[in-house]
Amino acid sequence: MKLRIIIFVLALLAFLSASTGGWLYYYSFKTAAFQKAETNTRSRLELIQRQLSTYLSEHIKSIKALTNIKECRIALTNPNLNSIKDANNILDNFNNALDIEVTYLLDKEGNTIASSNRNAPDSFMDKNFSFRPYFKKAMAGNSATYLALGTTSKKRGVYYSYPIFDKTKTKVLGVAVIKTSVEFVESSLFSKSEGILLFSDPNGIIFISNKEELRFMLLWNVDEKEITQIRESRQFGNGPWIWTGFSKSDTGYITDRSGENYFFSSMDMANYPGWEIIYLRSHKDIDKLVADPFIKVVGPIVVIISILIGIAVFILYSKAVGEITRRKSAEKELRLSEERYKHIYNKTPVMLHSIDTEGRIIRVSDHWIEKMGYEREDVIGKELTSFYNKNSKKYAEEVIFPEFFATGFCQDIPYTYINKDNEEIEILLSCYGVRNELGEVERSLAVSVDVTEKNKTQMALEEAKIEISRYSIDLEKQVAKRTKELQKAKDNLKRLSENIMASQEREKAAVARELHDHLGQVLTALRIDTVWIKKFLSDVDNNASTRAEKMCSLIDNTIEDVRDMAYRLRPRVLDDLGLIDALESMISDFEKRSNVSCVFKHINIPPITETLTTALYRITQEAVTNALRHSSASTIEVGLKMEGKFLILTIKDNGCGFLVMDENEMMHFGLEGMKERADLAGGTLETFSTPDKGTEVYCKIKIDI
Amino acid sequence: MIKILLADDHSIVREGLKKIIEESGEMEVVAEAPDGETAFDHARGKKIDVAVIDISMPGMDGLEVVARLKNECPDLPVLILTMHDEEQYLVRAIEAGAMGYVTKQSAPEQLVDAIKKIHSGSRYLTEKASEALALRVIRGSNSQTPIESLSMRELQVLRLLALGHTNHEIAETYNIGIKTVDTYRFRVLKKLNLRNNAEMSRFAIQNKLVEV
Repeated sequence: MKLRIIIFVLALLAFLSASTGGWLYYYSFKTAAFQKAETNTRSRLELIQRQLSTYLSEHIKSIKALTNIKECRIALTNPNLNSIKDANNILDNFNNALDIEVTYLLDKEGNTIASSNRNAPDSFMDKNFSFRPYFKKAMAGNSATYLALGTTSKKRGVYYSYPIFDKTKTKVLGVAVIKTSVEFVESSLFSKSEGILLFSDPNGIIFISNKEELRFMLLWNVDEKEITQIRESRQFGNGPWIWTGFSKSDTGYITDRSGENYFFSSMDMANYPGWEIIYLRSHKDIDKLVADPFIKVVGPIVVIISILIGIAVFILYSKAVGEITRRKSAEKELRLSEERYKHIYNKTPVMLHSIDTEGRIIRVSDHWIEKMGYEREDVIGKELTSFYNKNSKKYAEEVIFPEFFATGFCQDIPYTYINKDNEEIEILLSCYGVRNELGEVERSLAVSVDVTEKNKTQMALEEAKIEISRYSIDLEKQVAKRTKELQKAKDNLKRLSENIMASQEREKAAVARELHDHLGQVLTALRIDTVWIKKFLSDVDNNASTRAEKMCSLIDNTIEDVRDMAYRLRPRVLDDLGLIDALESMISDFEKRSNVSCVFKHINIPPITETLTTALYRITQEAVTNALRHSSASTIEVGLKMEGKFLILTIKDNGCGFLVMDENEMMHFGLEGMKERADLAGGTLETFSTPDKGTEVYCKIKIDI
Repeated sequence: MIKILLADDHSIVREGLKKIIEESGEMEVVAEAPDGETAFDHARGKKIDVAVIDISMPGMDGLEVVARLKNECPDLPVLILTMHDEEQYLVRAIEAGAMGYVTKQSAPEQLVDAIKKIHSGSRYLTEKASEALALRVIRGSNSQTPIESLSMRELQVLRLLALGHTNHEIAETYNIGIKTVDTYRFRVLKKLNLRNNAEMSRFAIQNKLVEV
C-alpha cells in the first residue's frame, strides 16, 4: 500500500514538474509577448500621433490663404447682397477644392455672414460663434485651431480660424473659419488598431476614439467643478460626461471598472496643448493573443505528455504491483524455507552445529544434543572447543580454525568430542562457512559424523587384512615351493624318462652290437669253415657234403635272423652312417616287407646330435609302422627338411585316417610315445587326420646349426 | 702272387678269410690289421697289391681307411668286406673309392674272384649292388622330377620293365609275387601319368634310367 502511494506521489510530482515546466515556458513566452506588445503599442502610437498631428494641422495654411482673398474682406467691410454672394462663391469654391466640411466667415461680432453650408438644414448662417475660443484668438490677430462639438451641426470638428485684416493689415475685420470632420480620424486612422485609442482634451474628455461608446466620456474621474467648467466652455455639447471607469493603480497599470489591467501609452499633440493621444491595450487581449497559438501548439503536446505519463505510471504501477506480489511470495517462501531450514536443521538425525567467528556455538541440532547428552541451553554460547578433548582442541585452534575462517571450507577433519558422561566420541567434521555481504565467513555450518564404531571396525579390518596378507604371503611361498618341487619332480621325471629311453637305446645298441659283432662274426667264421668242409667233402663223401651244405644253409638263416634281430634292436647304419641312410634303409626295408609304396624325400639336412637322430628315427619308425598296420594306405611318404632353424619331419599316408579327438586311438597308435620323444628332443609333434583322407604326423624340432 | 692286406678286427673271421685267400694259390696275405690305423700304416708301408678291409672296426673305420687310401695310395685297389648287406654301406664304400664290395657271408664263394677282378683293374660288384648304385645315381640326378615321388621298389620295377623284363622275371628277381609286380607297375604308371609299358620304356630312356 505504501509503495502505491509513493508511486502515486511520484507520478504527481512528475506531472507537476511537467506542468511547471510548461507554465514557466508559457510565462516567459508571455513576458516576451508583453514586452513586444508594449513596444508595438508605443511605436504604433507614435505613428498615429504623427498622422493625427498632420491631419489636425492640415488646413492651417489654407485658412490663411482664404483670408487674403479680397472678396472676403469686401464682404466684411461692405456686406451687401453682391459682396456676400461673391464671398459665398469663394467659400463654395474653397470648400469644394479642399474637400472641407464647411467654410465660413464671421464678422467681428461673431455672426456668420457667409457660409458654404448656407443652404443646408443645419446652416451656420446668422449664427453667432463669438464664444468660441478660436474666434476670440483670431480676433486677437492670431491663427487658431480648435476641437469641439458643433453647437449647430452637433458634429465634431476641427476648427481652423484666421483673422481677416483690412487693407492696412492692422485692423481685424472678421474671422475666416474652416471646419473639417474628425470622422475620418476614426474611420481610417484609428480603426485598424487593436485595443483602445483615445484622443482626449486636458480635462480627460474623450473626443476621438475607435470605440464609439467612449466618445465624450471622461477618461479619469473628475470632480463636479471641472465638469461645470467643461459645460460652460460649450466645447463638448451639453454632456453628460460619464466616467469611463479607468483608473491608475499603484503599480502603474491602468485598470477598468471590472479590474482588468491595461497597458497605457500617451503622447502630447503639437498645436493642441494639454491634449493627449492615448493607447490602451487590455492584458486579457494580449494574453489571448499569446495563449491561443500557445494552447493550440502546446496543448496537444501537454495532453500527449500527460497521457504518456499516465500510461507510464500505469505500467510502472502494474510492474510495481507484480514486483510487490513476487516479493511478498518470495518473502513468504523465504520465511517458510527459513522455518523448514530450522526444522531440518534441528530434526535431521546427524550432528549439526554452527559457530560464530569467536568459535562459540550459536546453534546445534537435536541429534547433537542427544548424542552429547547436554541440554541446549548448556551448549549455546559456549566455545565449541570446550567439547573437544585436549588434542582436538589444540588441533582446532592452531590449525583448523585459521584455515577454515580463511577458506570457508574444511572436510573430514578427525576430532574427538567428550560427552556429558565423559566418554570420547570420535567424529569426522565437515564444515561450510556462511559468508556475509563482504564475503567474510561469519558463521559455520558443520556436520559431525560419529566414526567411533567405524574406526574400531576399520582397525579390526586393517588387522584382519594384515593377517590375511601374511597368510597370503605364506600361502604364496608354499605354492611357490610346491610349484618348484613339482617342477623339480617333473624335470626329474623327464630326465628319468630321457635316461630310461637313452639307456634303453644304449641297451638295444649294446645287444645289437653283441649280436652283430660277436655272434654274427662267429657265425660268419663258422660258415667259412663249413663251406670249406663242404668243398673238401664234395669229392670224398657226397652225403657228408650235402650235410655240410645244409649246415651252411642253416648258418645262413641264423645269420639272417641275427642280422634282423640286431637291426630291429638298433640298426648299425644309424650309428655308422647317420639318420638319412638309416631312414632310407628302414623305408626300403618296410617297402620290401609290405608291398606298400614307401617314399623318402630329404633335402639339405645338416648333421644332428645322436639323441635327436634316435628320436627322429624312432618317431618315423613308429609312425610308418602305424601307417602300415592300421591305415591300409597304398603310399607312405616320409619327408625331412629344414625350415629356417627348424627341422621338419612329416609322415604322410593316403590311408583311412582316424578321428584325432579320440584319445583311445591316440594311445593305441602310440602317438603319446611319439609326442614324448619329440618333447624330450625339445620339439613338438602333431597329428592331423581325417577319416578317409589319410594321416599326417608333423614333427617340428628346433636345432642349432 | 697277389699281395693282400687283410684288415678285420675279428681274428677268427680274419683266419677264415686268410685261409680262403691263400687256398686259391694265386695270392697271399702279406699284412694283417686288427684296426683301421694299422691297416692304413700297412697299406702305406708295405708293397701291397689289393687291400681287403672290413667296414666295422674300432677306431678308424673301414670307410675312412678307404677314403684316406684313395688320397694316399690312389693306385691301391680296395675291396670292402663287411657283415652288412644294407646297400647304404655299399654306396658309401663305392663313393669313398672302394673298387669292390663283398659281404663276409658270401666271402667263401666271391672273395677270390673279387680280389682277382679288382687286381685286374675292374670293379667287383654283385648284380644287386650294381642295381642299387644305378638306382642311387638315377635318383640323385632326377630330384625335383616325377621320379622323386617313386619308391625304391617302384623304381626297380620301372627299370626292369623298361629293360624288357617280364612280370614273371621281375617277381623272381626280387622274390615277390607276380601280382605284386603288377600292383607296382600300376602305381608307377599312375604316378608318372603314363598309359602302357611302351610309354614307360620311352620315359625310362628319356630320363636315362636305362642304358640303350
